[in-house]
Amino acid sequence: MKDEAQQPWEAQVRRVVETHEFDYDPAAWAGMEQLLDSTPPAAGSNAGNWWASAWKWLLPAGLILAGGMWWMVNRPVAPSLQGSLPVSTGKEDIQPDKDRENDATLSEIPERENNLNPGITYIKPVRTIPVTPFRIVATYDPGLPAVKRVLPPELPLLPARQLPKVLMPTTVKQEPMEVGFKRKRNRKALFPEIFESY
Amino acid sequence: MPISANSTDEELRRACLKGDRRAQQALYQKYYGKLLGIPMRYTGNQAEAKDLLNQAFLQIFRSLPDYTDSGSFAGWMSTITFRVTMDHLRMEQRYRERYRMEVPERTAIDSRIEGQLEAADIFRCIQQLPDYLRVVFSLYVIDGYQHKDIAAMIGITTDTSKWRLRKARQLLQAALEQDYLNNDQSA
Repeated sequence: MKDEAQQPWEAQVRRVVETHEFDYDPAAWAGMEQLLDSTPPAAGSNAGNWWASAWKWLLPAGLILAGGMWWMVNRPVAPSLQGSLPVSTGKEDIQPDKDRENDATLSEIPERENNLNPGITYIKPVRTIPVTPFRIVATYDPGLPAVKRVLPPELPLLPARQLPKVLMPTTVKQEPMEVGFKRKRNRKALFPEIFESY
Repeated sequence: MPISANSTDEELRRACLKGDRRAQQALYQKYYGKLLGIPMRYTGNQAEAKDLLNQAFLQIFRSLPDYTDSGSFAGWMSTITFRVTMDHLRMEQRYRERYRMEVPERTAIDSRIEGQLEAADIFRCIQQLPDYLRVVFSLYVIDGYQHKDIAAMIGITTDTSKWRLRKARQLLQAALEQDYLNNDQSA
């Protein structure tokens, strides 16, 4: 790249251009002053503070946040809940609900035939899942008599009733396979409990 | 102590940060002559160069809060002036024109005029170059950029940059020699 190498006269041009200082033109400041006046905002005392230029965004954001907090504190409460908010003591016990011990369990669901899809039989689950209903009963600590406890009103429990019968499909009718052979499945090994119940 | 062009850079900078117009004028006066050379070697006339310098000073006054003491203040202002000049060149279509011109081939400048070159003559000859050649010459020879950087800066190819540098050299040599001969004859 001989052509691109800097030649001696170019080095001199570079040195002269870099070091040369032009004379000051007093008339040039008039144009600069016009430019400064016509282009707000010029550099000012607030320019160095980042928050001074960000207050336009911070102020509305702060107002929105304060309004949201005020609404959360002062939002209207339904009349049925007024004055009945529970106060937790941290000592509530979980006790069995004696009234609901006789509720049905899944094991009581009888087996029945599927009328809509003959051939598909719903069977009851093989495993019984005992369900023990619980309810939370608040207990009072006699050591703290001065603390006023606000408890929710005692709501009557709903009468015991049978759970809706849930039909759980556990078998699906097998479609004949289109391949030339049929795999033999050992149903006794796959479902021993079902066979035992029959 | 009153603010003047003789004040230190730090004093001027602090006063300008407060919006002191006298400090801005003092800073302008102090660096006018040094910074004007940057747009002068990229533009075709002095009026355009002065307009660009004012734009650069406006940018300097606005950017003063961002200045960190990591480098020299004069160098920081030179960088801003160079960027403002480059932005101007990118916006002006005439610096990207691609017409070709026939230039007589020259190999080296006359050795008699080496050492006789004066700043005013050099700036005048540089400004006589076509815009699209002057930009490449100044970027490569004076500011030391490579062709790939020049190509990216002004939106041309690397080969075009090389071609323009070659033509600019030839034209500038001819202009400097002619300028020397004219001065010699007039003397």
